[in-house]
Amino acid sequence: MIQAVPAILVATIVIPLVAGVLLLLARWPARFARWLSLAASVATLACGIALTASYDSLPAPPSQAQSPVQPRLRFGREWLNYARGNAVPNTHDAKIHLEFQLGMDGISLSLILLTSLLTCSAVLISWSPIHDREREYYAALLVLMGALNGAFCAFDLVLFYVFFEFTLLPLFFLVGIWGGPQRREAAVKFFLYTFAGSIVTLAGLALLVMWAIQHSDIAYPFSIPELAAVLEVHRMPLSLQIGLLLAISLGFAIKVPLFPFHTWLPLAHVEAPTAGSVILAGVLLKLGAYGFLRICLPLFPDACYSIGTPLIGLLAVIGVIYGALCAYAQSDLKKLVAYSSISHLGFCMLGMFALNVEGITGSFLQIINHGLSTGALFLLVGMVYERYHTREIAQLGGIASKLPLISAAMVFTCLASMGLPGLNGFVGEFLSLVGMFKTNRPFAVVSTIGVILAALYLLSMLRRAFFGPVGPAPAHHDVGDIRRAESWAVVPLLVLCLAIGIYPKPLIDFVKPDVQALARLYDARRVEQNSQPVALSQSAAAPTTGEVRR
Amino acid sequence: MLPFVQNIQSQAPEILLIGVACLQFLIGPFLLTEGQPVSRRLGRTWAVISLLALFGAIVIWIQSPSSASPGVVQSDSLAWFGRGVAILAGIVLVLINWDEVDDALSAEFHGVLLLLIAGVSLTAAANDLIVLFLALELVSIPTYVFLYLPRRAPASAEATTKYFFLSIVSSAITLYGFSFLYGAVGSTHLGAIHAALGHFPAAQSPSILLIAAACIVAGLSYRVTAVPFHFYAPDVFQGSHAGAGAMLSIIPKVAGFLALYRIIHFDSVDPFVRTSAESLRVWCETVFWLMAVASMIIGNVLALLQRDLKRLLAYSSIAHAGYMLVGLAAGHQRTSVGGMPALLFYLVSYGATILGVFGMLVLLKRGDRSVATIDDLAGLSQTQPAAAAVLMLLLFSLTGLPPTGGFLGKLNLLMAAWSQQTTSAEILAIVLAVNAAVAAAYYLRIVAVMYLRPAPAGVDVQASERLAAYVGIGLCVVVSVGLFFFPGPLWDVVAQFST
Repeated sequence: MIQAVPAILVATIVIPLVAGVLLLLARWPARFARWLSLAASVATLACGIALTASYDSLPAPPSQAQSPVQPRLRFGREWLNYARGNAVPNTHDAKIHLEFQLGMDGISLSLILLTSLLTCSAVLISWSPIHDREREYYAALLVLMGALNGAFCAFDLVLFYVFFEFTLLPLFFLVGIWGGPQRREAAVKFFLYTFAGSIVTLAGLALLVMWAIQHSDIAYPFSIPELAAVLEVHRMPLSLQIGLLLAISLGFAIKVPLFPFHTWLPLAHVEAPTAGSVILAGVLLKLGAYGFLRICLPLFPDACYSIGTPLIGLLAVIGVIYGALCAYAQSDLKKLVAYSSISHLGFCMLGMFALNVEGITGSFLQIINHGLSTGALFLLVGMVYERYHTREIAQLGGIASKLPLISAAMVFTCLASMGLPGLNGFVGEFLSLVGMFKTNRPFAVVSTIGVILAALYLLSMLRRAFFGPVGPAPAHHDVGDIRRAESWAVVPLLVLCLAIGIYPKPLIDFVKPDVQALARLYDARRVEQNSQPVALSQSAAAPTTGEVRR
Repeated sequence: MLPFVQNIQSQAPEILLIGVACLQFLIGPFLLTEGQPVSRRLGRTWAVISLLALFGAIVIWIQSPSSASPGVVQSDSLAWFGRGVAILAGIVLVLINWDEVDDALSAEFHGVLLLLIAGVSLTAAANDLIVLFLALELVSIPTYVFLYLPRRAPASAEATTKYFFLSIVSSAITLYGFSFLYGAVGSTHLGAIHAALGHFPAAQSPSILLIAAACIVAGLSYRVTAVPFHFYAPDVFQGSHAGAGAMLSIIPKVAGFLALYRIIHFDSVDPFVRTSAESLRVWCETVFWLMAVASMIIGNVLALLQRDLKRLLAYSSIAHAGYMLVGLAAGHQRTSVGGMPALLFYLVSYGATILGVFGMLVLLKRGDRSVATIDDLAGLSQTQPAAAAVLMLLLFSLTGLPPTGGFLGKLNLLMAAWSQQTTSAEILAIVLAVNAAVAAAYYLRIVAVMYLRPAPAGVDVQASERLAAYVGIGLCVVVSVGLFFFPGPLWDVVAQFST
């Protein structure tokens, strides 16, 4: 079994990609395309479950390893060797090369599971509403899934970036071809906005790698674990770290999206087809948070410590409050959920930049929880839209009397999303806030208001759209309450919401070593600062600490 | 072996190409009878002969040894590389221009094409100013004919005239620069020139060296369409046939960059004195820096405003010249990712991509006219899904999105710029990144028109059924994507040419 693990990991990327390309090339009937894509996404999910089952039997990373990123499994194949054929073979940088390096730790494996699960739901929810160019539609969904899985298990900086960037294409087509009336603007805006951010990220990554090559004798500077370990020894000067953190996080901040960079999100969400919204909110935004967690936190500890908490934490707090207030003001169901995403991801970033075990764990849980509950919210909103052909809250009303099952699911999901204890949202938000409370009290106190606001906008939406007098929008009675395919799409998400809410321990334990390895970095920073405040500022001010040691 | 025989051997691919071209010129006219229609088969025969000649050249090229020689032509690894790029580009050009040219003119058309391929490959091998100038003219004189032959319309004539006059001026300026260089150093042999410059102390170097450098850089920058020598490009691209545009967007660039590399390869021999080579190198880097920044910004910003496809590609070609100049401007420090290797990698990936894009423009017709504006492509994904997918992939390679060679090309240039650790190179990296984002806007607009807009009522866009062109474009796609997954072989070759 253990020998097969790398192959299974590769399969989570290759199965969807190959199935997607096949769908594009072969002229199969639409019905077959649906079933094939369902089979491919279920097979990928099965691979993810198999990986989870064998995860514990994988050899743990050696305990003396100091890297803050310690994947349980890593393997790779050479991609581009910059050294061969070089005119100057004897310098130490004769070793640098790119690899197709994949691996996994608890965080990436959880996200692979989330992606696969949500793609299954996305395929199922598209069963009846999508009738136009179906082959291409399912191909885009599958390719997106493959790229996302790739991004989550890439441990080479450039390979990660490749997958990160590649996710743009299928989503561009999903929004642009199968979206709502303003789909073209939405797709182009989404693409250009995120591409502009991520090209800055690429420039930052190139600079980071070049600095590492020139200031240390690292053999494989593109590897995230190795780079993190080396940068802990040869610390970058603080100003460079801050510059790199800002550059690299720009692409991620737009994806998350953090407060001033969120303007593309509502439009893209509203115009995207239901499945697109589910993947976009459920996984794609998490790619940004994952980028912070995987690249920014382990590689720029001093910068995160000195300006990450005040700056990104502040933006997160603003996002929490601003997103919630905007959500309250919306009259369109989908827009409301979109703005609530901004608010929820604010909690996620808030916990992450608390930079301690509680906060990072909470942030990770928030990533998973938001994927589940917002994914379910978008699925349900899509079902309502399909039956009423409107998402205007004023037009709806009294849905509960006509569609009792959908409404019950909606109430449940809203409770999960607003953080009712006993459901999943509570665990993540609570841990994030506890973490931030230890680091920066005002931030934690202010963002607690966001929890109250979430209850406000979700409950008032429920009251106006689902209960109360029946609205003017005519229900299309040829479609009744929830269908079988739709319930298969939603119910697993709801079950998981409940399970994580009641007993989150297995999930927390699953990522515990990874979170602890990261938090250890920052605990060390705190100790340094408390014991020798002068020494840290000196070492940060000296531009070439690494060189001096060499 | 006699040096003469050795020279012939080392130049065998060029001799073969020029020989076949001469045969085509000589025999072609005699097979035509006035007033009678020419059979399609005759036209195709010339294309097949061209292809055979190019394949022959490839066979010789692969077997040719690479050794530096002191003669007027070299057969070192740069010559080997340049020759390979030229011949492969030639094959694709023959394929995508299949049946495009009037059958009566086919012999001349293909002869001219072979001549300019030979010219590029001679440029790569030149080791002497006079041979270099000859080689450059062997590229540009056939180009005038090549631009006009496929479509003899007024717009095409205007484009050709414009190109002709400006190209003549640029050749004259280059030659003028060569003469100053000769005057200052006393030799036309590049090896001797570099040796001399490497020993001259900068303080005593004659000021005409600077004039020489300015003239040479100006003349050659015309070929790579760098700002401010770009003015001809939009009009010429727009006016000429798409197949000719394909040639224009890559062949002069290859020739120009190879010639620049041959000349601007200044190595300071004396480590203690600031030599002329050193000061010239600094001067050239400054100029390249300015041109790179200007080309990237002007090319991309003006491309944003275009509606005409070929004009847009012309501006994008200027911008790409700017990206490539980053490799030259980034500096000379020997690092693991050198500027020149990054440039050459980008050149190959750009060449494959742009040939494919123009190949698609040759094929796509709306009714009886070829597609001209972006809007002509509306709904292509529904009427011609395969063509749209290929064009999309190639455009994404130009944007620099994975999984295409364009992505690795941009990454290499970025790393080359950062690795110099100078402020000027860092600014270049930032400008490059910003420009890549700007460029995405206009490439994406084309993709959006193809995929997101419904096909307008009326005549649908059709792709001509032409196997040869399919093969040519297929080659381009394979190279563009292949360079992403297997960049190693190409990098191993270009990594030798660090500055």
